[in-house]
Amino acid sequence: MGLLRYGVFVLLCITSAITYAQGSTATIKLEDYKGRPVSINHVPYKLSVVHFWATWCSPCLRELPQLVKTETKLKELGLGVIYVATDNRDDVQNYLHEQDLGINALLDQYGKAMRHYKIKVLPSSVFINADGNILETHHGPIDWEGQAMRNKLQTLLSR
Amino acid sequence: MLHYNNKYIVLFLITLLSSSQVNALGECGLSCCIGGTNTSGVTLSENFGLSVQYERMNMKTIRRDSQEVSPDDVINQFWSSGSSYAVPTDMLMEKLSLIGAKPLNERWQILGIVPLVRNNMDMRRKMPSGMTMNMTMDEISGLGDITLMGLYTAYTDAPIRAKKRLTLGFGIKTPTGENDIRNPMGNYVHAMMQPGTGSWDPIFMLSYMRAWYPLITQINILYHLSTESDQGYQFGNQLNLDLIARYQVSNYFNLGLAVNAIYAGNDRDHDGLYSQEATSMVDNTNNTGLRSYFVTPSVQYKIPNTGGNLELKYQLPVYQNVHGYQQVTDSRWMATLSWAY
Repeated sequence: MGLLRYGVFVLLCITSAITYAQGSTATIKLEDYKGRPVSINHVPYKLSVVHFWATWCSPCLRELPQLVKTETKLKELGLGVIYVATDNRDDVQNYLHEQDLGINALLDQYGKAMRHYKIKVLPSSVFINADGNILETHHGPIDWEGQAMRNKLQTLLSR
Repeated sequence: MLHYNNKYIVLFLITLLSSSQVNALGECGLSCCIGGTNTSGVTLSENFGLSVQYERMNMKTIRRDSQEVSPDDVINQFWSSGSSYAVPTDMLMEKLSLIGAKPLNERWQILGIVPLVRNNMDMRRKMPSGMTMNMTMDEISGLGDITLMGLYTAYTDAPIRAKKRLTLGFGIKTPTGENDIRNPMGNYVHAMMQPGTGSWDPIFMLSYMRAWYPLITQINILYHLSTESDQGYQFGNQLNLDLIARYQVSNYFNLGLAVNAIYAGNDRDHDGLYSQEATSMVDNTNNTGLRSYFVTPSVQYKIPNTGGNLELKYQLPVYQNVHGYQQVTDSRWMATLSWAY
């Protein structure tokens, strides 16, 4: 039993070390659907929205065109959207080709970004300011063209 | 014959590796709750997953090779005048387990399995006088062998609802269960009836999942390397191969069908503490080791708007070929309630 206690202690130490190391990770490096590496921590926007979606998620697909329109409208004011697909490369590639939305999508192949931003619902949107601080995480779909969201974005962009 | 701990670990991992898809399938209403699904392929939850599992296994049939024989056939084969000989007529093995799963990062997850076991056995003994008696053994119960496992996602094409995923696993079965319980006469209770094995055993696993949603298929290979216990008993090594198919019937129901192949080598009783070849069918390492094939239908239900799911499985043997004479599994039920936090 002494050996067992020692084994459990060692296991807990390893677990704690890995958990600590994971929590202190500063940079999330992903690939886009064309295989190019992209870091999503350092983005040159006044307001960034890291948006999580998937091709098999119907609410995501209903929301995505609205978000793309909003980004286009507010791009000049400093809004940037990072589209993170929690999906496989082929499905993302086919979907973007068919829909011709004109966006790049990053692939969160092993769920690294999902874990970092504690995403438990699709779609989800994380609002990040120019300093890289998370302002808010919204779980579930958003009416991007609704008055409430338009006002909110204007406020965040005018800070 | 296999120790119950060996059988249990395999069946649990099959459940774990094949059940964690249910929450992420298909249309998901207003938004797609993925809490309780997997990011690493085998994760029960983003933070912590807990399962309670009840398993009940009935064993009655005795086989020689693949042929069914009656208890009296075995007794008549081995009983000799002036001595006694005992065979099992009915065995019921139950296990209640608490299982915890904790993802460490996007690729690694650790599991802990804490089992409580309860074993019952009826026997028939032919006495030196030639008279035959049926008897019930004292119930054996207590903490079984705790298992710790690490699972590593070697490849996945997506964090949730993956279409291809390869998972590797390594674990240790620890000797926390008693393996030296004795009967009222002072002899060791049969090795496979003991709550634990008394040995530190490494476990190796490989699992490959391929999905064509709503159909999910999976191959699992698991190897349990048994080592010698502190009492000198060594269970046979065990190799399991599972072919699993699951089909999503609706947002909340999955139906599954698995074919399970099990190969177990012969046990060895190095110090002879558990062996009574002349008087007992069970206490004889020549009557250990087998090849078995099972089919396992299952149904899984996701409890709406929660991180919970319930799964029921029923395992039926289709072919069993044993070394010597052995009592084999006639049926096995398993119910698992899992909750993701």
